Amino acid sequence: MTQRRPARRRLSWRTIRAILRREFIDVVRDRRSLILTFLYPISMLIMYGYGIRYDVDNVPLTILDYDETPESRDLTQQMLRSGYFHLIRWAVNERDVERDLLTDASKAAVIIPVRFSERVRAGRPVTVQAIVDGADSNTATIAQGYLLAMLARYAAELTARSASLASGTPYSAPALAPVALGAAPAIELQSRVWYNPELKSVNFIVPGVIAVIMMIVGAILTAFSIVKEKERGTIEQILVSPIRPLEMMIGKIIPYVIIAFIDLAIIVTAGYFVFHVPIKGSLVQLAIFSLLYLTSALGIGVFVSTIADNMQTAMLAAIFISLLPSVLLSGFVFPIENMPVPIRVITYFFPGRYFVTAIRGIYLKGVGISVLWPEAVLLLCFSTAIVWLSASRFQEKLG
Amino acid sequence: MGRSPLAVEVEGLTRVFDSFVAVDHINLQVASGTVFGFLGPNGAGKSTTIRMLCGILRPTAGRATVGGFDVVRQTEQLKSSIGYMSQRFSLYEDLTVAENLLFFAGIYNVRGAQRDARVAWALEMAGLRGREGVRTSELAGGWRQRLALGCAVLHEPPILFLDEPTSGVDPASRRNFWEMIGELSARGITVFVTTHYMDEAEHCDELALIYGGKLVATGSPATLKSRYMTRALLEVECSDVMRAFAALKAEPAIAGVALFGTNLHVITEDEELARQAVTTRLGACGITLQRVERIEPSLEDAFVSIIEASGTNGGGAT
Repeated sequence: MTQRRPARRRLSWRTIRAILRREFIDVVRDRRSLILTFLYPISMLIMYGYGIRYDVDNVPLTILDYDETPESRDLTQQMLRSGYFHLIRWAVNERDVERDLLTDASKAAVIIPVRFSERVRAGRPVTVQAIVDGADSNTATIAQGYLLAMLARYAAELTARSASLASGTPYSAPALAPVALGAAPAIELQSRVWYNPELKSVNFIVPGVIAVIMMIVGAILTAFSIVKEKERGTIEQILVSPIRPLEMMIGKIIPYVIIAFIDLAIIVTAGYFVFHVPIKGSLVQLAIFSLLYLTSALGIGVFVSTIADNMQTAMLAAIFISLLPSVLLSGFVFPIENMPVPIRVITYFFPGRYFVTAIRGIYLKGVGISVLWPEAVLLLCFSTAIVWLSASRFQEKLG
Repeated sequence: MGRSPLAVEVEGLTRVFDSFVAVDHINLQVASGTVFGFLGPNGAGKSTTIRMLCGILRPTAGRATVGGFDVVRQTEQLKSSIGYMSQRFSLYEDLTVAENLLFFAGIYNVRGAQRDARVAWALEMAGLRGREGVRTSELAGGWRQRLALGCAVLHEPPILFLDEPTSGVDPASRRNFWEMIGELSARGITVFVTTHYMDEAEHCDELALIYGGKLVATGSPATLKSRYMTRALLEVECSDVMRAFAALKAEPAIAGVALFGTNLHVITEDEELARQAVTTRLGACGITLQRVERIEPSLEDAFVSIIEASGTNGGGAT
């Protein structure tokens, strides 16, 4: 079979340059693609940065206080003062509570039972019911955490207060037993969050947006630019020329490498100045990891162009094999640890998870290749494999 | 490479798509420097053949050489020595005239002073001098066609393939385009052109007719007309063409009647018998006969009878 393709000439830079110059003109002249390439990263950043927030404050809360004593009011005031909740209303009965949760008016509810103060004062255990709306599991988990924390604090306070008040009288054990809380904690848990101390989700999101934009530019735009030529028939004119498929592929890819890096710079700069997300690690390593990831994105783009003959197919294929995995299976939006095992296994087959892990490490923890080498190796393997696969398919289809 | 007297040589060339035989064992020889017309209805296999000859579609069977290069094994040398322009307008519409020319200079590796000279020549030939900065999308069909031709011959290929180059272009531009083909041919370039315009076929030195994937006739326009038109063709001019058409169709001495503008064309095996039939029949119907005249068949007439003959002989691939 080697006989069939004898003495191939070397790649010609002149030919590659002709292709890439045309590609650049195409991007610059076509206003839509210009907007897509440069405005998209910014709008993504704004959308994800402001729109999607995992931080939960101001959880709408309904309170049903059957007790209506100074003690019960003390507890509810503490909750409302914390800033994590805002009161929707004082409910009169449980039907109100249910209606608020059903209509999404509130996300959480607290029900204080009758004889709450009596039991508290008597030092007897009492149960306060906390209800969270599990439909929005993310908010629910966080709201539940807040509620438990508030109740725990109140319990601790009561214990302390009764200890000082009742000097002389026998020490009474914890007065309050809220949901999932047993006795007053003998060991107090003092948690401290490292690397992203304010738990600001934007810190988390900026690196994720880089992953998505790289995928869009690398895979989708590259695939589009090749499929567009198929659709318009201009590729025919190129195929009959002595150009080698590899020359065409390189010429097509280079402009998108440059665009991807401009986008990277836009995101990093906007992240720093607009969203105050600093980079703790090295910019050079960020660039190297981005290049590795971009290479695999370009490989996917070329691969898509070899299976799609029109823009619609290209669009669908690109979304399914590049965009969705980079958003959903990378850990950008959903934590991989929380995924069911089969899905978690699938994530290993997409480059997104390695890149998101690496880039968050560089961004937030300031770690480098010494820690992230497994991700680097896996990204390298993935990009080598996909580039090899797509380049050989491209040559076969166009050669 | 010594210049072979044959620019294109094809033997048993076949292409099968799934179970559909698009091109069925065709043999062709095209002499260097000629204008070779490849004719046939849509779907007959013209484009498939051209794509195989340009090295972008692998034949299922048979062999072909273009400019002495094998279409399967020597595609790179082959592609350097051909120019190609297809029925689909394949210039970049968002590039300007000059940018398109420079782009093709780039991918054909035409450089330096030669590039400048060729671009200037192409602009001159296409009549686009002074309009270098115009977007290609803003050019009218005829200008685009000429620009596309300029791009296709920028690297001075000895062989030029034109796949329906004039489809969708106005008649004046078509004439102009064929003048350009004539000029290229005069410079010694072999032109392999497909068309379904019969008037264009008359401009060719040699013709080949493909029908249902099979080559049904080859020869010069004159040979084809005389060899394949064994029956006589009469032109009839009369007062009521529509009634005359219906009346003559029923005549046993007349093999076929066709409307040709305001006249009728009558095909017959026996000219004398047919002349009598026309006179008596039209007289009986009260139609005034102005003229009956034997005429030289056009290529179109010739092709209709060739295709009819190949159809009755069980030809045709599908």
